[in-house]
Amino acid sequence: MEEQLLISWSDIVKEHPELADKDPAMGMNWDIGQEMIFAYVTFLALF
Amino acid sequence: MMSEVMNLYQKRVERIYKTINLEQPDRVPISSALGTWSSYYAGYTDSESNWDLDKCSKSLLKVVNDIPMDVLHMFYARPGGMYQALGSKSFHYLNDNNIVQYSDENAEVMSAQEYPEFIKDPFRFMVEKVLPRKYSELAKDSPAKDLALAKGAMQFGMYGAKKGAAEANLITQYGIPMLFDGLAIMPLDWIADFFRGIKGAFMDMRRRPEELLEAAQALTPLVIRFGLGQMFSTPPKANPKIILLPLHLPTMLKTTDFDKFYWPMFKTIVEAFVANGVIPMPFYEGDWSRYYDHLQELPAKKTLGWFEHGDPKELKQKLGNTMCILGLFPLTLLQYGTKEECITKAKELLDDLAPGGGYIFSTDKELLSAADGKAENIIAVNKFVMEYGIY
Amino acid sequence: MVDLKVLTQAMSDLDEDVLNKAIDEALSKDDNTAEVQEVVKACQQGMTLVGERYDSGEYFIGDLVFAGEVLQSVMDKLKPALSADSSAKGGMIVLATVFGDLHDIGKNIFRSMVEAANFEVIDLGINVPVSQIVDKVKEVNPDIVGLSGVLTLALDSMKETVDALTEAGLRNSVKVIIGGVPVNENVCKSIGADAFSTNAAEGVKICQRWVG
Repeated sequence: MEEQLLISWSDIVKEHPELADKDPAMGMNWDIGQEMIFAYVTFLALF
Repeated sequence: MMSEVMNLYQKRVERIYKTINLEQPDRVPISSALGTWSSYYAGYTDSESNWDLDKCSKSLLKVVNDIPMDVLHMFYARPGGMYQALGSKSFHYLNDNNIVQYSDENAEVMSAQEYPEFIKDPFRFMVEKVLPRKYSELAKDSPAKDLALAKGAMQFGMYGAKKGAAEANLITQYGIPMLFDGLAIMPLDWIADFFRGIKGAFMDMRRRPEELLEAAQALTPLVIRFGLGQMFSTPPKANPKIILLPLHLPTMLKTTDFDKFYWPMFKTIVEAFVANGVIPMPFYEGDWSRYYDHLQELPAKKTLGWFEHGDPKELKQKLGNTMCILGLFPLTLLQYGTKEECITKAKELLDDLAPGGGYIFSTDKELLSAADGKAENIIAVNKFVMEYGIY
Repeated sequence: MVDLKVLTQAMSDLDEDVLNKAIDEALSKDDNTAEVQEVVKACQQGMTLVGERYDSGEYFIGDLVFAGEVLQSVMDKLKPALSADSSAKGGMIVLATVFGDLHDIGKNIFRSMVEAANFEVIDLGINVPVSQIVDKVKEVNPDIVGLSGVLTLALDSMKETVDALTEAGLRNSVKVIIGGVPVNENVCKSIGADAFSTNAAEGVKICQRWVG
């Protein structure tokens, strides 16, 4: 089964529950980096 | 103790959000859809502003200094550095005085045979197939393409930071906010404009309807994720963020095709944004009067509707209780009409749309080229609306 | 013998299966030139009906684009079976999307319909410089010049094109029709065109009146 690209955060947190809270350094959710890359790649496929 | 500029800013924000809630504020708010037109107004060319974010910022500062308004639509400069880093094939800088525009010539990056692969995993298909076809650097082998993708991401991030700083600057210097925090494209428009070409999509509608439908359904969660990603990657604001949804195909489709390939996904996406505290603002390009009954199904007081064409009385009557209305003022009048003709038209629109609130004054579309409106007409009209629009 | 009424209706209904069956049947016979000519005429009549169904609000742009593609593939199939002089042309049109504008869907719909009405079309494509249009008009001496555009900046290019035709002493030997989203009567007057249309089927009728 092919590895999923940019899998959902809820699946990641199942393996790593310590990431369920915010990233203390950034004050934002850990998955924000993932969502930004998703938005970036999707944006490239548009326009 | 708030400065005068911040006071103006707060008043404008309050005015806009009261109107979105279908209430009557102190006066009709004015939203300026001044896009690349602003570059020409400030003495730059479009390509200068698309590459030089400082020039775009300077253009908008000049615009808000000279032209009375409550809110600007958006910071229109695109991330040119990112496109250059990736070797984009999509943009057309034809001559100095031209604007970035869609071309069906290069739009087909996906063949009809690839529908099953696309439907199975659209994101993977985009990464593996679409990106290398659109960007020459991403067609190279690893590690060249990996570094190019990273370089593009850096450019994208820097662009976002610069854009955010420019928007903050417009607030601190002039108290003028932006209306949108991002945008998203609907699944069928995405497939038509960017994967199959419009011609290809119309052919698919007849020759491969089930595949096209499944593809649009498969893209729907990606559109939601794309929109929310933009909304949540910047700090939260005091009021809900607004997302622009430019709609392309609906007025070119017959109603049965609209009902099958467009409406269900559009409604799902709008409802998903609303459920996440985001306010969608579809740009209803063309004449949507055929679909007003559909639009009545959208969650009330939770969306804006930017209309290009339509009878203002009919719009107010059919949709005045559902959504905040803006648009209809024709650009061609701003360019080719007299000041008096422009003001007469503005008065007509306010008389029909303003009573009871829930109406923001705006042009029928975005001003892009230099000939999309004469500055003196724009200023005269906005001044008029600020006075005549007092409730 | 192919049922021509069924063929016209199939073209009008955009029923590809019926169309293809009938065309294959016509092509399968030897010495079929006369019949193929009748098939072409029947398809052209069907295309006119498509225009009427668009006028009446039954069909939309999506249907017109599909119709144009269907007609094009029909004509491509049938052309080899037609004799060189069998199609008497009803007039010549030089067609272009003007300088600065890349949109061509409306132009292409108009082209399919006007070719179906027996015009010869020289399509210069998109973003066509003023000088290229003028040179082509000098070269082929058409009856009509068709200028298309979607963006508001296209209106400036249309005016420049018409002015250039006047300067070259060609304006009076052609009729100029402008088409596209931003055109209207005022715009038509200030550009100096002879007619305007935002509806391809209507544009075809105007052209037919000019050469008829």
